[in-house]
Amino acid sequence: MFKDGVVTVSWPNCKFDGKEVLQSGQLALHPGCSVVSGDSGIGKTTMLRAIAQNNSKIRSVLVFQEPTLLPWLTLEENLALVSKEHEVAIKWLDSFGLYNCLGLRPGQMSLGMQRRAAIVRGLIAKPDVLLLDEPSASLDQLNIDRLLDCLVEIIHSRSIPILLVSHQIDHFERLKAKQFYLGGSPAFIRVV
Amino acid sequence: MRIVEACLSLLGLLLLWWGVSAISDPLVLPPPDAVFYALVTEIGTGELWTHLGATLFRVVMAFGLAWMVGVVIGVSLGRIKLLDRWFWSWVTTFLNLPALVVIVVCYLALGMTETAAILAVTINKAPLIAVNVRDGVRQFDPKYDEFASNYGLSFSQKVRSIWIPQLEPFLFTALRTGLSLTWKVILVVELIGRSSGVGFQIHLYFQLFEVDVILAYALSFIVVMQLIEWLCVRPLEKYVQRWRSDGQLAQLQV
Repeated sequence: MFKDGVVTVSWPNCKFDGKEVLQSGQLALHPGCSVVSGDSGIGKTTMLRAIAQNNSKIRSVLVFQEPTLLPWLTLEENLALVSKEHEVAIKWLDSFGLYNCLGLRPGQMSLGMQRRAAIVRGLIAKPDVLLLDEPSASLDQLNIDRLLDCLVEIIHSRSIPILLVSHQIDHFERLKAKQFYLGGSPAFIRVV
Repeated sequence: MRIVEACLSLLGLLLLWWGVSAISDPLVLPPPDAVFYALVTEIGTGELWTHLGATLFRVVMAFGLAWMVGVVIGVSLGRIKLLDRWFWSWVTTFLNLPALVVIVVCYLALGMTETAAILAVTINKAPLIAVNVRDGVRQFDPKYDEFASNYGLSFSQKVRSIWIPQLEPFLFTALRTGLSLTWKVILVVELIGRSSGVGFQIHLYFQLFEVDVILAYALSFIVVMQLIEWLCVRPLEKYVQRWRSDGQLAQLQV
């Protein structure tokens, strides 16, 4: 649901093996970055998946923790799969320092590059809300800094809400993001 | 280096053949030079090309049809659990149906025609392709399906960019095993009910007890199948699976 640039997303109760692991809830996301933290395995990814599946009126794009770039396609072909606007893709690749990787396949790129490329793919799909699952996981500090630069660039260039989940919330302090915490059993969300 | 090794290995096989034929009845197992002479004679009369061409045509037609039918059945069973539950037993039934039975039934139903010959081989080989493809589909990585669903990819995009690349190893296995088995079944089809082809010639020279010509025809078709493998299948496989060797470079880049 949209209102004054604010996107409200909701999710239902989620069960795993018959046991409720995540309580239903909703979040009003403002343009900019919102971070959901919580312990590993608490249900952060489940919440993102539920948001991606449950809000049919909103175009939400989920960028997975494991970059799901197709390894048999070059980066250019991967991007062309979700958008025909080549110029837009080039612009974002340039901003993210990936312009020289157009002809490379994911297996020829580092994990940090693949993560940024996956975010570019998410952006050119023109989402109303961008969902990022543990974008800093397994990255070294240099790559985390590059990733943050990219997120700052998105926040400045596109006024869309970004909802990211991470169990390492300190990585994202620089973004001055609105913070939420997912905890409890079954997990529920609250503002920090 | 691999080609040199393969050539040396084949040379060893040739020497073994020579050795065994030297201590056997030459009418039962003629030596390689006799087979080579028969081959040259058949090439000289033009008979070899005619019959090789007829067999190759049937292999291409029957295997092409079996491939199409097998892929459709395999993908359907692999993706739709309900179909798999209902029709998997049909596939295994046809898989275990002897080729000879299918050939005889097709000839009885449709007469001793080219259509019956090709249909028989298609019915016999499609289940093999279907089994391979079904196994491949069941091993699809669910993360790519989730990506496709998340980004709203069309059905044709999914087939072209996600399904086919994941199926490649299984398609190549089906291609190899299918081709090698198809031409053997084609020989039986020709032996029973056609008046051309390598199978027909083998039957003819069997009646004349000319084993050297029989081996010449068999060898010529083995050479054709090896050429298809080395000049078509392997280069194609190497090209489409080139991304599988990616990875080492990634460790060096930031």
